[in-house]
Amino acid sequence: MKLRRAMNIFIFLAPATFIYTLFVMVPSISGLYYSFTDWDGISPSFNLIGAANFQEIFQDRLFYKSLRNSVIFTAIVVVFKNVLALFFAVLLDRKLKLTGFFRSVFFLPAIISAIVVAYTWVTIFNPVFGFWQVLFQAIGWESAAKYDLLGSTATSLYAVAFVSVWQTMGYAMVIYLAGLQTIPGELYESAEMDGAGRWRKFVHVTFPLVAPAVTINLILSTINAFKEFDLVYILTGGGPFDSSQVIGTAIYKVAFETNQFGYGIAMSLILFFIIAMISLGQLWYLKKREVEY
Amino acid sequence: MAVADRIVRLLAYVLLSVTSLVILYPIAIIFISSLKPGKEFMADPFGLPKSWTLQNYVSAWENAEFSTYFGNSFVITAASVLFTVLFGSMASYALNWNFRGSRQWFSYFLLGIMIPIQAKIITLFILLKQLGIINTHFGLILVFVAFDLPLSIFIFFGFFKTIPMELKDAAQLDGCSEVGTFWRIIMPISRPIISTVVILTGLHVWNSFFLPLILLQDRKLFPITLGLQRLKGEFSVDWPMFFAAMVMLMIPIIVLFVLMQKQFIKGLTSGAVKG
Repeated sequence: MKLRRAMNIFIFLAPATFIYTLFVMVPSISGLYYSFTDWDGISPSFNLIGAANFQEIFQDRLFYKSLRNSVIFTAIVVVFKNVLALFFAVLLDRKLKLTGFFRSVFFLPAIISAIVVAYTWVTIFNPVFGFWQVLFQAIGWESAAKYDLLGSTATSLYAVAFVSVWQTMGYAMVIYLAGLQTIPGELYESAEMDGAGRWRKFVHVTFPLVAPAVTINLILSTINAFKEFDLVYILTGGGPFDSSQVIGTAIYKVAFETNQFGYGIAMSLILFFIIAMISLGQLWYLKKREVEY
Repeated sequence: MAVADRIVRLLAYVLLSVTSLVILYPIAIIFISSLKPGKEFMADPFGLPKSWTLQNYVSAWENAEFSTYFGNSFVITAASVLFTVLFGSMASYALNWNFRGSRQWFSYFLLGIMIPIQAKIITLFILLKQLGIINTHFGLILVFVAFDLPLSIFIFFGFFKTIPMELKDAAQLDGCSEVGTFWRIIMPISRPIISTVVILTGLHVWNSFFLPLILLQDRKLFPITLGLQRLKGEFSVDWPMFFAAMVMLMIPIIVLFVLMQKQFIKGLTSGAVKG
């Protein structure tokens, strides 16, 4: 009987455990080792070089630039995405005509590949024939019409952030909507009886009670923005002059374009560490503020 | 009061409509431009086509190898989804038996959700090279399954916990083995949760770019996403044909989304929302 139980456990758990261990855990843990080497990924031999990779990272202009860009990108995306998402969720929580239609439209970009989204905006921002140019020409603003948003160091990062908000706002909105629907209607009624207006109802009833959705959205959007690769890679390739280089694309550049594998791995461990810290810190802080009812 | 209410309502409609336009217009442009003859596009990129044509689709499909890319995307997605669902559901079912160490085993799987892809991609590339399965669909599919297992195990685990024990016991009294119970009793009643995992995994794999970019080098093996990027990079782009190829990537997803909106939204948010 006991043997049979063990057999069953083995049959059911072996495939998943084997694949997961080999392709998720082994690479993650062996990364720790490789980050202390100078391997280029091709040559058969490499040297252990201690913490030299990490020392080099902290003197590397590319690393600081991409870290700074990632922080700016994340801040913009997280703030705009969540403010807009919560705003539209509150609008769509009521019974308006066409509510279902608007919800589906807002959610639509979330199911489309980031590659298609990026190329769509490459087309729109195209300085030669893009819609951007057509639009500003039509209203007679010549200098704006000629502006190359993705190709200028001053705007490339913000243009990518805009596209990211465009793509993921609806997803965050749906999570807020799910949170709003758990708020009992009586709470609004009693707030109204106490003479609360629209804004005060939002501040004192809606916002505190939708706190768990805020928590999950802030964590998800911070982590995802920090890891961003696809959009940046297609929209700008990190350029011009690294003006939109984020950590995700910098790691790719270092490891797969200049073949500094050990150095790239060391960089990716720092990314992992930052993400772990952000999510733990955010979780702890936001949990404190959630309201029980 | 009633007047103020009306104004607010009107304002809400205006805001919602404008935002919908900002979301739909860029997507619509791609669709419309893909149906325009090349010359007409260069002369007037954003007008409605004077003569509609499917020629861009034909040339993307036949001359630019998108028939191959489409087939590759399909094979990679189908296989990854199948094995993620199969192995994920099996593992979560067994983790619900509450044997010694089952909780730790579950946590071990969840650990994978926290590790960002960049933190393992370089060593993964090296590992696949050493195993001799770099630049193969087989290797790529295994990696997709491994990456999608943690979330699918999390979702299945929550569902299996709600299945009453009596159901299982009754089946086993009738002489069903664990494998038989799982296959004949548990899987059929798990259809809703299976569709959730299928949508979540399928969408992730179909839309993915980063993993194929790193793990595949041979053009013949490329999925559509990678094919698009190569098409853009190598020639002076035939834009309408490029748009046609973009539509090929998104049309299956959009059609499915329109048909099963509820399942899509539930599937995509099931990692984030309880229940």
